[in-house]
Parts: sequence; structure tokens; C-alpha cells
Amino acid sequence: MTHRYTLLVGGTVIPGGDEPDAAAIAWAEDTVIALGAELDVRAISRGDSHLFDLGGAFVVPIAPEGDAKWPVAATLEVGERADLAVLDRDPRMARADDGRDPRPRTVAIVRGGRVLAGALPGGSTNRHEHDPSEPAFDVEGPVQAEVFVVWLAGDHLELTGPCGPAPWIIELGVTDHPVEVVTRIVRDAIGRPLLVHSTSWRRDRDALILSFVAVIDAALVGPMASAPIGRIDLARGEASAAPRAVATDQVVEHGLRHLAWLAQDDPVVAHELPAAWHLALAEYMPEPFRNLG
Amino acid sequence: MDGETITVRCVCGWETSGPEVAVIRTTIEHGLKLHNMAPTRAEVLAMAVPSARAAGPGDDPTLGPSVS
Repeated sequence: MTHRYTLLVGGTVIPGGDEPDAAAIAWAEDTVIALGAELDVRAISRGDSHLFDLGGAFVVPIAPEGDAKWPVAATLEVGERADLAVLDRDPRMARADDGRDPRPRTVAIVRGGRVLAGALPGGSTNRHEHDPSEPAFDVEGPVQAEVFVVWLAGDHLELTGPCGPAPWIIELGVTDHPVEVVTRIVRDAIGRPLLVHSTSWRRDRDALILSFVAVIDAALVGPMASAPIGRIDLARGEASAAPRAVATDQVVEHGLRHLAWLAQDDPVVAHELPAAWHLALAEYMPEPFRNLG
Repeated sequence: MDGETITVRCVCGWETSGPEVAVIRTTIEHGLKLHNMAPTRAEVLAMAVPSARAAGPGDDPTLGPSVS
């Protein structure tokens, strides 16, 4: 899975077909992954994305091979190939009556997500040429957030989320701020959380896993599947070694113990959590952030 | 897989079925919205299976847990 997104913002994207113009477009490898308003497309940036400011230039679809002409039958859509041209002005307005050359100048030609001619404006050439020695999938040791969405169901705590009670995995870019990304995605997918806190870390699934507890109000649960949280003993390591195996239930148990500790130690957390939460957390033995594996 | 209905299942339990173009678009949107990652066309197709096989013997595909 590539993390190298290319974002073009600050211009006009003419997708073709009957689709309305957009202000920005993004692609990953050869595939268009976002098209729309600049804020929406910027929101997908992982921090390690390549961002180019079109400076008012225009983006049009071109055929995947042959001469770069416009208009063409091809369209720019999410999921389709990133075959496009960047033009210095609107090709729909190309008229000779202003004394200028009526043809827009081609700034860059991109096919399959690679800059084959010219250069993308507002940045380095950034051709994204494929180095044969470069793997198609990122093997740089990804960082992942594992989010446990917790809510108070009457007198007990339950797990929920877009993935139901299962851990919700979110990839993090190397320069992303984990808390900011997790908070944004929880907010966009579910609604504004009461609290988002990282509670532990471990190595697993060939990645560095940061565990988060996201506390939400009961009103946000809606149709999401939910399950009561049971109690379990924690995984314990040795004096200088992490536990050999950590079950998801143990990560949740530790997360809630950490939250119980914060509720006592952190004035902000204490304030954000409703009184009923303090009661529910009282049965968890407070414990600070730690390495679980 | 042109012309046939395909199914993609995410490890989180999310699932979508339909024509190739729609499944690719929906899977990319799901990946970006919930997992902060965007699969390419090739990656989506590598994950996809024909919908008839995804439904399994005896399952009614029209009653599946699709959440697309």
C-alpha cells in the first residue's frame, strides 16, 4: 500500500463527462483517490504526501496513451487511472480574439500517476518515476493506530465503532501527529469524541501499534455494533522485556486502567469525562501509559 | 474481472459488492475515511473475489451484510 499521495490543489479540475469542476485532485500510484473541494482533498494528506499548488492552472483528463489531447472520452474519477494534463488556462475558453495563442500551454502530462512531460507546478519536478529496486508496497515499518471506541451504556462500558467492537485500525504517515489524525478520523466517521487518548504501544503485525481509547457520547453510537467490555488480567512482561503475547482484551483492559489513572491525575480528562464515567472507571485499577509488547 | 460482480471485504468487517468500477471507488473511499489509507486499483482488484464465491454456498447474496 503506497503512502505517496500526490495532491494538486488551488486550480480547476475538469473531470469530463457531466461532472462539475473540482478544485483539487489526488492520486496514489496510478489511481485517482480523491477529487473535489480543496479542503476535502487536503484532508487526505498523510503528511508524507506530495502537495502541488496549481496556482490557478487547469487539469483535464487525457487518454492513457497516444497524443495528449482534450477533450477526450476519458474522465477523471475516483478509482480510475490518473491520466491527466495540467494546462495554464481553461481549454474551454480558448479563443483567438484576445490576440493570444488560443491553445492553452501544457504544463505537465501525467500518465498512470507519473509525470511524463513537463513538471507539476508549485513544487519540484517530482516525477515519481518507478525505481525497479523500489518495492510496490511500503515496507518502511508502518505506524498504525488501533482505536477502541468506548461508550457508557447505562452502568457499564461497551466497545463500538465503524468496525463494531473490533479494533479500528488507522494507518499513520511517518510525519503525521497520531493524536490529530485519530481525532480527525473519529470525528469525521462517528462524530466529535469526548476524549481521545493514546494508552499504550507495542510491536505487532509488522508495525508499531499505538493504542487509543476514544470516548464517545451514547448518542453517537447509532446503528454501530456494540459489545460489553469484560474484565481480564493484564499481560505482564519481565523486568526488561515486554510480554510475549498480548490479547486485544488485555489492550482494552490496560486502556481503561490508563483512562482511570488519567481521570484522577489529569484535570482536563477529569473535566471532560461525565460523572457517570468516573463511577464506571472507579473499578479499574489506575495504571499509566506503557509498552504492552 | 470486467463485467462480473465482485466483492471486497475489509479486515474490519466492512464489505462491498458490485461492478468493478463501483467497488474500486467505494473501497478507496472506505480506506481513506476509516483507515487513512488509499488502495490503488490493482490493490483493490487483488483483494476482490467474484461475488458468487464471496457469498458462499447457501448464502443469499441479496441478504448479505454489505455496508457499501
